[in-house]
Amino acid sequence: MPAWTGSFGKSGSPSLRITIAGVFRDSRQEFDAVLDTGFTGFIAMPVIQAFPLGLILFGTTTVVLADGSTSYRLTAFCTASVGEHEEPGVVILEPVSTQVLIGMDFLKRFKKGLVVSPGLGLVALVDEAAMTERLREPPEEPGATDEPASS
Amino acid sequence: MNPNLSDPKVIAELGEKIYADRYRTEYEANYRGQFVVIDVETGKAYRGQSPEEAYAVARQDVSHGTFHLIKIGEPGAYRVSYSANARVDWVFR
Repeated sequence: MPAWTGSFGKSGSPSLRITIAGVFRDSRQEFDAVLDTGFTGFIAMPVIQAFPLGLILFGTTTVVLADGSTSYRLTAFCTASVGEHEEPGVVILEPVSTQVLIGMDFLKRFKKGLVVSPGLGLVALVDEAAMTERLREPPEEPGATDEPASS
Repeated sequence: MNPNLSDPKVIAELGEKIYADRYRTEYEANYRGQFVVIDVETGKAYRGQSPEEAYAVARQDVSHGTFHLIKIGEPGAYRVSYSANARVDWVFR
């Protein structure tokens, strides 16, 4: 299956190397972005790291935090890329965080499904089309494996 | 009212107020789940199926607006699992 390979960072969180660009393509930068399935947006990043990229500031939005309370954030526009594939999207600018995050809308835009196995050290983002095809394959018949039957 | 539009908190609160006063009843009845950006300077609203689409519609009409993004029928446009309730009114000070 066509897949992007990520890694487990120092924090133990699954992450993927992405490139973020703003208005000036020359000032684009690579980031090891943490895959956060609890985040419904595209990308969230520290505002201080957004300045050198020249992101287009759009305005504000309201976010719902883990405890159910709401808070305000600035928003900007960027282009994110992995390899040859790039997608534009809205970035949430975080005033105090230190980590770039990618959320569920990132997976949706790039049409990827997520496979994570800490035990195997595996982080893979698989094409949805290939994943769907694999899941539709019929299950193996009992006894169809190459292993000899135990007596 | 002369809002300080260099303060993100003021922009957000003004956007939420305009939405609640002028658009919420109609939009929550008809467009739940879509996104809307409010131009807090003109009070106009621009809808889209995604945040990017709503912003694109807004930018076609206003090139230099100050926008607040809302997800119709939800308390916030996004849910985050990580974030502290940080102050955001220091950015331009």
